Amino acid sequence: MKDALLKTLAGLIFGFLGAALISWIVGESPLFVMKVMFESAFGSVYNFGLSLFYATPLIFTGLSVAIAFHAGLFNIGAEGQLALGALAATCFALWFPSLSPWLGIPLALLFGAIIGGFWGWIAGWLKEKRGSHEVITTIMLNFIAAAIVSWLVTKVYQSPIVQSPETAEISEHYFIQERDPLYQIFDGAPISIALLFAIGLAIGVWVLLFKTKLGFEIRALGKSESTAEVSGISSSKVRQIAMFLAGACASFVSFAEIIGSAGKYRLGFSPEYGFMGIAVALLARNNPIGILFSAFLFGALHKGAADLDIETEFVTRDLSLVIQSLILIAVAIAIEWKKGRRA
Amino acid sequence: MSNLSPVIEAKNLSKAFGSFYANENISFSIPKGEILGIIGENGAGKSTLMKMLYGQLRPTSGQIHIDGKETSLTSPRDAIARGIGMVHQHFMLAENHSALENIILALGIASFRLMPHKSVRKRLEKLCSEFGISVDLEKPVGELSVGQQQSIEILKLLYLDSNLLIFDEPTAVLSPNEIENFFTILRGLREAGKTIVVISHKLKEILSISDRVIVLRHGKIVAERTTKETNLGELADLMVGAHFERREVIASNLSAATTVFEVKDLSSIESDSRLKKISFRVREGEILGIAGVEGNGQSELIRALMNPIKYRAKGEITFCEKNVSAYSTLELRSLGMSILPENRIKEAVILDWSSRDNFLLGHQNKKEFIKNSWIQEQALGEKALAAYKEYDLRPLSLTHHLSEFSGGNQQKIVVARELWNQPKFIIAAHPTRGVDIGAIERIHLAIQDVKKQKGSVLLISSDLDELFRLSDRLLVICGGLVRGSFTKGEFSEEKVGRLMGGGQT
Repeated sequence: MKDALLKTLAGLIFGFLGAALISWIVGESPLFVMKVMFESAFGSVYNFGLSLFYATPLIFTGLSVAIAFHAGLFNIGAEGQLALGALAATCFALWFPSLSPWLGIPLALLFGAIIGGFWGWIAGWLKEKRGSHEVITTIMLNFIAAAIVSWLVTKVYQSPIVQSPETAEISEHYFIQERDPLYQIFDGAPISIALLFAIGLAIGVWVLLFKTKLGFEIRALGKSESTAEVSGISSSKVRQIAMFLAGACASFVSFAEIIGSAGKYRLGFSPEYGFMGIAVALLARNNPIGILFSAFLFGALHKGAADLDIETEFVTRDLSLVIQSLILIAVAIAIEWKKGRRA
Repeated sequence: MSNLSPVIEAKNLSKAFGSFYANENISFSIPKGEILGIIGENGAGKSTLMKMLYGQLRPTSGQIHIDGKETSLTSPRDAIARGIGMVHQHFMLAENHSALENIILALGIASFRLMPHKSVRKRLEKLCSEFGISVDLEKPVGELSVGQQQSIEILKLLYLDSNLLIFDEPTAVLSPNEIENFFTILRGLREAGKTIVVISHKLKEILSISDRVIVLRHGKIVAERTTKETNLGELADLMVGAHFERREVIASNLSAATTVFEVKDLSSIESDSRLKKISFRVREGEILGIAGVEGNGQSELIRALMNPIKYRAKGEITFCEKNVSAYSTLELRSLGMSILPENRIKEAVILDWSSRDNFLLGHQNKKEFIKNSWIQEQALGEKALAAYKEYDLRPLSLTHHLSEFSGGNQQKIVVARELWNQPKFIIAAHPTRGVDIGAIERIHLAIQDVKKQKGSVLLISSDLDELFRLSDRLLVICGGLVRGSFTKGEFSEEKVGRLMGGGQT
């Protein structure tokens, strides 16, 4: 653990050195760029809250990818799972607008998780029935999910009072932003208790994977299918459960993005959280606790890069993405660094 | 033949890892045209020594002389350039490529040049006929038998003009026929003036193939013998460092015992029909051996017995008086079946898990280890440690990853786990393959203990010594058919060997 932190730190230092070099090349003061990035992530309670806000959905999708990874499956489908799951949660809120928050929100999340989980499960089931590779099926399922969601939003749940493709607003029983303690603490940043839920979920996933029988079976399957089989583990069952859980985790993005901040389903609200989740999970080596940190790193850099575009003269939007990616790559290299490894 | 000057000479070679000496003051010389056997237990320093000769490790002190000149080898490439070649225990072949392509790959030709298929093939064919090697150069290597893969490795070295060929445990994965074939090739190489080093812990084979034997123990040479002047007993004692006693195995009186496991007319469903109406039964307290050259239906049989629902076969399987023909592995395991699978690394363990977590595999439904789906870590640790202690696991550790244990100790872990809690029936497939002599003894003892506790064993092996020693009855299979059956006392290498080869008694 200490080792991992030191490596991350070393990676950050090298990454920022690279960022400084790029800034200097384009004619921006490296120190100023560093200052902007730091202030944008940590400069105020509000800014810090925004970094956390960006991190929250990535925790969910990171966990989704990680669970599947532990079962030896590459879940490229978190994007589709979160889209359908989040829409399902929104629909639940629209259908039962007057339930009390204590009942309504958990039920909406649960319903979303079932639909998102179902979407993940399809890939596990297809692998079982037809031997279809999950990378192909999850990618295809993303397209199908996107089409279903845009049809439902524009044709069925379209809000009549706006031009853009989005649903009506969920009732204030579900949309809790004004009463959200984190919203108040962080000075009005759109952060919500979804962050606490995400942290709890990460711990829960860790416990599931490393302390329970199901987790043991998932990990055994992921490490060696043949060994799992000889040990009497049903690869078929475990694979389907793992994909269901992956889809369910991805669906919780709705907590942060819809219940916690937007209050409605906007078509295309996710800037590809599902795909970023892959990087988040890989950077954390699929460790659920590590995902909390790597998601935060992604969130903070995302925030910093956005502000670079605004605050500086020469670091454009594209260049800021270069800087963001450079730092992430440096961290990824540092974390995987092993002593004495030769070519 | 040994009056020629030495091809390679080691002078006081030592290799230290920290304060631990894996090799200490090793000196020997090998003359041209000699087959030298190097024997020793796991951890005796054989591999370290070979790695120094092959340039993978640099000696801490001492020198290597090649053709009389002092040489420092810095890499395998360096060693190859000086005519030293090595065949590793696990072959270094790309399975999707043909033999020809594999050999071209080994030549290290620059990437953008066209591959010289024609000229390479010509020379290979010449080498093949010269040394009596027959191998399909076009088929993907993965589809060839292990013996043929080994031949390809040898061809590779011959193509590279190696004069000193080092073999690391060359017979570990070969069937008896293939071993004979391999020895013939080795003798041919010797005739052609090649120098050969064979590392092994199979004493019988070393005795039959080598001219001279060096015994390593704790990193030092403890003895050097001319093969003609030594014998099995002496070598075993030298290797282990104590007088080594093989216990005699007592056959049980089984005429009245009940049948625990029965197979009736088991045949494959696929058209290739690797299994043809195999029938047998295993009685309480009995070890039933199945002898056969590898690839004659053993793997299919094992699969059909341990996971009948997935690997469906025609016929009926009965276990504990239940028809289990459509059971899953899990259901069979909960009825009291245990499995020592054919391929330890692939099917029995997870290499980057701790020895503790590996103990849980197969026991993940037992109350002792899982309560309300929570893993009982304390109980798991205690029970695993107790079991490992009983098998003298080294290092006796719960936290080391499986990959950090030697092959013999990995297998002890698997045996300790599978025999925990007195299973009623065990499928033991090649239980001592690639395992050193000490561990073999321990594992054989454990299998006999199963019998004492009224458990039954189906022992599938290609090692006749092992089968003869442990089995109460022995079936011989060839081409998916049961060709003959013997009871203890009637076993004879000729008869069984003939049936294994497809002949008649």
